Amino acid sequence: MRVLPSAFVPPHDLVANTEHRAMDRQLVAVLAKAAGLERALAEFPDDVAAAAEQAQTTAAAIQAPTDPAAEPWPSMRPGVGQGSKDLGSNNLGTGT
Amino acid sequence: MTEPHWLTAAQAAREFAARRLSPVELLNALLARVERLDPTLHAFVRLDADAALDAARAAEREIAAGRPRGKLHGIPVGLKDIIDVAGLPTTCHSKILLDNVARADAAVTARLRGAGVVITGKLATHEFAIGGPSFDLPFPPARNPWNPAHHPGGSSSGSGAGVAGGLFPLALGSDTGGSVRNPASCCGIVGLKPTYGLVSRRGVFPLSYTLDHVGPLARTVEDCALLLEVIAGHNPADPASMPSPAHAFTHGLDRGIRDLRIGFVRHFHETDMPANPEMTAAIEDAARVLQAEGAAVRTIQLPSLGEFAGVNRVILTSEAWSVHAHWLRTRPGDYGQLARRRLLPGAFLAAGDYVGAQRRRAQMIAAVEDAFRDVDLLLCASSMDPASRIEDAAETARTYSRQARTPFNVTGHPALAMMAGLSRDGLPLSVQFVGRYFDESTVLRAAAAYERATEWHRRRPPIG
Repeated sequence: MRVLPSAFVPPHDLVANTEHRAMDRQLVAVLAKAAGLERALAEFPDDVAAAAEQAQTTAAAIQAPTDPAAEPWPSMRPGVGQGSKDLGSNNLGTGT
Repeated sequence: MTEPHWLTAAQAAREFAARRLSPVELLNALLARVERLDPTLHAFVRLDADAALDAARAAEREIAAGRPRGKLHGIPVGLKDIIDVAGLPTTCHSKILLDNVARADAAVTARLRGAGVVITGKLATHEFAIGGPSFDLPFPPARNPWNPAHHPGGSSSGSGAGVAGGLFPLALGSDTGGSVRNPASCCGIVGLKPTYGLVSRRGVFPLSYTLDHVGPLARTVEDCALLLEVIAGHNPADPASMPSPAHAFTHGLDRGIRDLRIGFVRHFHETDMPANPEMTAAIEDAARVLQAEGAAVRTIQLPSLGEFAGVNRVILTSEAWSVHAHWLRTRPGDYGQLARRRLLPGAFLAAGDYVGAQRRRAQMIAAVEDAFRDVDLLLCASSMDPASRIEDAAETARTYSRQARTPFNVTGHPALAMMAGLSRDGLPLSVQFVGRYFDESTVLRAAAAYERATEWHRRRPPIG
């Protein structure tokens, strides 16, 4: 199991006061490593940096409801999980 | 008789019934066309000619013996290569899954087989249904039959290119942010994203669990309805699958639209993402055509495209990260650059972002449902621009997100895109119809009325 840094904070919260500024490469590296992306960071640093930027921009564009009672979609319903049944039809077990 | 490769599925079925054409003759004509044109179009990643011929011969025997299985018995269909066909690889057009042989048919594949449909092979897709037209993958990207220098839309790119190019009359694609309707728009055909839960996704490689849909592509509205009749239905193995009313989608297609109240979502293409002038003209003309056919058309307001797109993107990339995290950690170099860049943002979104997007989604659904209190159908843009040149990465990136399809992945309403004109450069223009939940019949009826009133569906790409 991966262990997040003890001071792990969601990425766009960390950079909330630096909106629209390029994310700091060191911060991107910390977040990427926390997500297990050491290899991607080493081989494709520009892709990782662009992804962090995009995530920040995208999340900031959403106006989440201010009403605490506003529930997410889909509604939670009991009894619709697949439990331990076969999860897929190919050799990855990834069928939906 | 029309040349076999331009027969619609409905026409071919009538020819079969009248003994003027056989399933084997049709398939052979199409295979010859595939051999001639697919080196240009690249619609197939895997042609399964032997199995298709076996299926066509079996259909021919059964039809000759007076045992037709249904309206699509013996009709060739292509499947996007994220849909499992037992014994064939489901590669998702990716190096990651080159050896991923399906052990069983997807639910939709099984339904097609049960209806006696002839599965011709697996079709090109953007990598994992998200990458975009890419040249760093194991297979080349599909190209647009109207002009092979242009992309055919995606991610169900082979499905759109093959149907429009006359390689097969029907295809299945998947639609998470518009991936059935985009190739339909770019290639001048008909593509339907059904209501979320109407068509099972079991055995279809996931991109985003709460946004994924499977849908038909065809050259006519009737064919689209015929294919939907086969693939729709409850499947308890898919947690999103819903029991739904009878699936007689071809009934009433000729009823006309005099009783329909249509809400025209003008702000999508006028102010949210101002469309190319030719596209704007085509959409406005479609509204006039529907009015002339007797529908009451009035302008309505929905949340902005930008907000829909943001919600779609946060949900899609969060859910896709949960699918791809292992490979992005261990094999990032085995993805093409576009897919890698589009999937990696999921690693940087927080749980609160995802839940926030799902909470906003519920409000957006309520807004669209409110609109349906006063209207029976929505009319709006699909794409804001004709297809860009496939090798112009910057223009493709600029135009790709300029679309009005994602709102209805967010809400789950049925949405159909179809041809609505040709640009001065000879590329298809398009329009979109959106209906109430599980009211595909009204969507198809309006699309059929538009089709009858116009000539666009009779146009053929100049590919020969």
